[in-house]
Amino acid sequence: MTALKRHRRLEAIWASEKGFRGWFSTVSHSDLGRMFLFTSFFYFGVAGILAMLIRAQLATPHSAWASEEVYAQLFTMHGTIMMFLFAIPAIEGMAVYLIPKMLGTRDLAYPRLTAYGFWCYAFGGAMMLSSLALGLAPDGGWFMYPPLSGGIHAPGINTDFWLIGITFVEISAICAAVELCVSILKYRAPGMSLDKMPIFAWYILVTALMILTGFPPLILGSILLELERAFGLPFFQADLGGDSLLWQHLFWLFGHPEVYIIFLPAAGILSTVIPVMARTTLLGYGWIVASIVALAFLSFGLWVHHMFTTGIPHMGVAFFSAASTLVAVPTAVQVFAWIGTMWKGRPDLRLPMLHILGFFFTFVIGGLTGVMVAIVPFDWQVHDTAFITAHLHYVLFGGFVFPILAGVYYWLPLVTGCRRFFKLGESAFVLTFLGFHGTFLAMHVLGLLGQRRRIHTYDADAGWTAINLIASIASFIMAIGLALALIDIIIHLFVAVRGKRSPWGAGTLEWATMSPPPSYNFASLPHITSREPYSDTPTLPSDLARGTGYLGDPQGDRRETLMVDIASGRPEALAVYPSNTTLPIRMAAVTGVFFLSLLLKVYWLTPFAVIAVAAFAVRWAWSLGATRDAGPQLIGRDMQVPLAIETEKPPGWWGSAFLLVANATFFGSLLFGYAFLWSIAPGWPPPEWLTFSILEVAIGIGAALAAPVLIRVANARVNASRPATPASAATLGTIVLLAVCLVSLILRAPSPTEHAYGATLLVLGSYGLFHAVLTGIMLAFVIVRMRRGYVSAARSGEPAIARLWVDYTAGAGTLCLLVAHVPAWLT
Amino acid sequence: MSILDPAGPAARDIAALWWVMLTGSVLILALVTVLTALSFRKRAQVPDEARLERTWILGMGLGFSMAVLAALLAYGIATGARLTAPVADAVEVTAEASLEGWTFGYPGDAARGQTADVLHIPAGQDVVVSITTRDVIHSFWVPRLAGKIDAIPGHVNTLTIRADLPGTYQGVSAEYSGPGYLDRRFEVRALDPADWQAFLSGEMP
Amino acid sequence: MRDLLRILAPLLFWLAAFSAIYGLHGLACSRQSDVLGGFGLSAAAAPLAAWGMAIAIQSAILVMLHLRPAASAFVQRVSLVAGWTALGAMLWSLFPLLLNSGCA
Repeated sequence: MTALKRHRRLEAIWASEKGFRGWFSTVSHSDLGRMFLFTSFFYFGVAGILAMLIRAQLATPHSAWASEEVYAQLFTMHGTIMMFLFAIPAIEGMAVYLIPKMLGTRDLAYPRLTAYGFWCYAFGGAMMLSSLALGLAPDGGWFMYPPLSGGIHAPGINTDFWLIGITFVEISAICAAVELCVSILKYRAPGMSLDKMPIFAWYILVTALMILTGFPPLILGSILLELERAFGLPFFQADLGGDSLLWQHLFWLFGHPEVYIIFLPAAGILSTVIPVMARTTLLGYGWIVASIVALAFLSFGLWVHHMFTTGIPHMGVAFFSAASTLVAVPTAVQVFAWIGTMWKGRPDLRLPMLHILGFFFTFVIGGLTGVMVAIVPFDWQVHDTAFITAHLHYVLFGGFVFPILAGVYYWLPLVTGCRRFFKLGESAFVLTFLGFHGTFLAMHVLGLLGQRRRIHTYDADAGWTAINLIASIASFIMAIGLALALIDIIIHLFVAVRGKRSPWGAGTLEWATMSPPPSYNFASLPHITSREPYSDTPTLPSDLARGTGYLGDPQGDRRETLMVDIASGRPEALAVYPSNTTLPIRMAAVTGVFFLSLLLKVYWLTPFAVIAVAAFAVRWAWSLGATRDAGPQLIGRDMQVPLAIETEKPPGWWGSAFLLVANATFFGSLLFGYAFLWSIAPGWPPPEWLTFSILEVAIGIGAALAAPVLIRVANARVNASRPATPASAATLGTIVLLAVCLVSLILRAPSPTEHAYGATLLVLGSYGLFHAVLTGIMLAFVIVRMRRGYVSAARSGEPAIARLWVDYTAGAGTLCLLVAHVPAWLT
Repeated sequence: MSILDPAGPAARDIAALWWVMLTGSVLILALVTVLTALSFRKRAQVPDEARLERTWILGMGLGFSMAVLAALLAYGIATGARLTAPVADAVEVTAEASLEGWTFGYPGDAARGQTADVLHIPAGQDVVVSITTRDVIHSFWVPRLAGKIDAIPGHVNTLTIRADLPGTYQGVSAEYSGPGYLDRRFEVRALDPADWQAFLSGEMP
Repeated sequence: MRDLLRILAPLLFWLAAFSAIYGLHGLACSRQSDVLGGFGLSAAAAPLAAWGMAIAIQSAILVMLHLRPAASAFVQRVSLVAGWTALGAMLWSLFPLLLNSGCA
């Protein structure tokens, strides 16, 4: 087969549908990555305009530009959109687009999930945007502290838009995180062991793990606050056994890791681009991997540093002050490794490098002020002043916007296959850089002079007038700079001047495809023996196009790629992807109906939406699998591997495992909330405890202990090619029994509206019950699949996935029953 | 309103902390900028990778940063411990925040009623303020006297303040509390001993 | 998966111990302090004892990493750095326990 014929054949298999319809049915990571990036930059523009309105309002004292109510919506939405609708999705877009190309594979692990995640983001974002258009936008500040955001002080729909819209958008972050974890660990080019992965993949892997463990506390907080607002469950009301501090803990348990979730991928761009710009390799690859991992963990031990002024005992606060200074160490390791890399090579002052220099100067200042506010007494003074606003913009603009612009300019030639035509980028950078520092350096001073954040105006005699005016003028210079950069990029997209392949001379695999990359990325998958395969083998692109790698001969119309062993990168299985489908957008639409029914309080619609989502999910899963064993598959280079569905751990198993990590964090946060209310909240003990029921505990825990045993019996019988339906049905029976005990717990718990204790028991019981129902549906699904012949000794993956969920549900159900009953039994 | 114009020991300690940190930060920023700039100079020989790793990662990344941070942290924690240490013979007052304004209460019998939006304290004495709120979260902040502490529903937080000299000091609620946030302010009036006694006995409004 | 866990485990233990000791200190200073008293622990001693135990376990993890090296030299190197980092973090982040132990 010639290279051209192979290209045509692969295009026919992998291409998205032509035209407008293709947008809705595409499952290609290249398409969806671009869609994520376009949409996120649209929101960058929206939030940027809000920022300009804020600066216009503060330019002069007693400005009548925006009323106090409008101003509150402006600053709340500016922060919310930048964080949730720009930064995170922009990272997801970059990662979704680049990761498979860098890893030398053809797509991410779950193409339909990528699409579902994108559409959840698009619909959730539209929901948030509509609140702004309707003038009903959230107005309590982007961290939404109750009681101000509770039903009593904020009765309108504004806060509901935030809680429900953001939860909807977060589905996309969780989807992308699961998918990126599995893709980076299991979907790489053969031979790419962990130490040969491009450094960017390490950053994204760690970031994805952080999303899985960082977002659940906020999702929990949002659910609890919405339950309080909609149904009067008093989790955050001090007079009814709740505590507003619980929200702050849950929010910042998410909020601090969030900063690093935003920074790490940007640092990944820097670690990728700096060595290329300096014509060398990265200094201290192993040190950097270790410091990324350290940063990820340390960032989870910092959340209380946003709460230094809440009256937590000084020693508790001192722990977090110590941990907050410590987190600067791995950051310093990376910064100095980058400077060392530049010393090692010969840096070139090209456009991406300009943004990198912008990063160095800005981020170092942000880091230094960050260390300042980690010192508790200083934070007591500047907390909630303009100093903090200035600090966080130095960190986020320096640590995210400059690197992402460096990344955009670096990878644009890959995406478009063109080179820049008008050289607007340089002037754009200068304006942005000067404007940024003019704005935010001035705001540090305002904070020191006592200007609070979030005030909508100030008195002329406060002494802040001149500095505010300087900041506002500079902010408009920055806005002009960013607009110029945007125009530069748009011109680049539309004015085609063909560029050469790999204009920077980089060694990583994404440059070894065509520019722009074809739908299938690589005509055949390379065998990797070093960290920079393209530098080692300059003929790699044509070799791969000629089909010398793996999977060079497409079979039928299958979309094929390889799964590998995590550590060594040895090929393990042949994965076959689903092709174009509108299932993800339709499922995202019904998910949207579910959230909309909650937002508009049309609760009769909610159960129907849930059933519809479940029906789509079943259809989604049903379309996978086969009723015959296919046996070993030839993958080229004289190697044979089984199909992924004929392995013990099919792709769905890995996805479930990582989803359960997120789920366990959610449950852990719930248990933390329960313990926190019990020990710290005023208004305890509750007027009435749950009455202890030995029957409920014994039957429930008995069932939870039996279920994992029975599902293992079923698994063993599947592997031995013997009928496993009875054992599976018995497992289902024990799960139903567990569900009955949890229903009994919910029904017997004290009234959930009278005290936070009853409310917490209701949520705990419901969490267990939800999992019992979910696992029950899975077991029923597996039983039907067994009867239809989808399960065999080789195709044993589905019962294995069911086992994961049965184990989790049994564990969670047991814990729910225990933590509900033990305190009741003790008192 | 400026924290750089302290009028009491707590604010003065923190202002000193700021000037120390500012000096250190400017030096570190200058160092990093110079090091970055120097990487662009022309060099004859290719540097040795292992040596670069030792210099940059172990030396600068780990050694330098940890030394600076450890010193600063010790200084910060010692300052924090001093500012939160229990004080003897302090005057105890209460502050209750609400969306309508601040209400301050004083020691002693009923002769001295509560005051709204003006807190009277004796100058030159430690005053412990017990702070809480009737509705949403507020924060008690008098920049020239001390750092801020939040007023949280159901909790009572304490803050020690002290004004060296008699005078009036501006205070604000420094946690966003919805419409009207801008005007949630109060005043602290530090009185000389005679005025303070007069105030306590109710002779002064 | 085992290689990944080897890299993550030391810092995971630090995070768990750090949160637990913060929680223990919070509990000791809360109205539920009698729960600790029930186990014969005073408010000041409990977090300190827990810290000592955590340092011991953290060191044991590091020793284990040394004694049973990973197959890949790269994984071994990264996990050792992570192990030392975690031990450093355990000492650094909880050292305020030595300075004072009140609830003020």
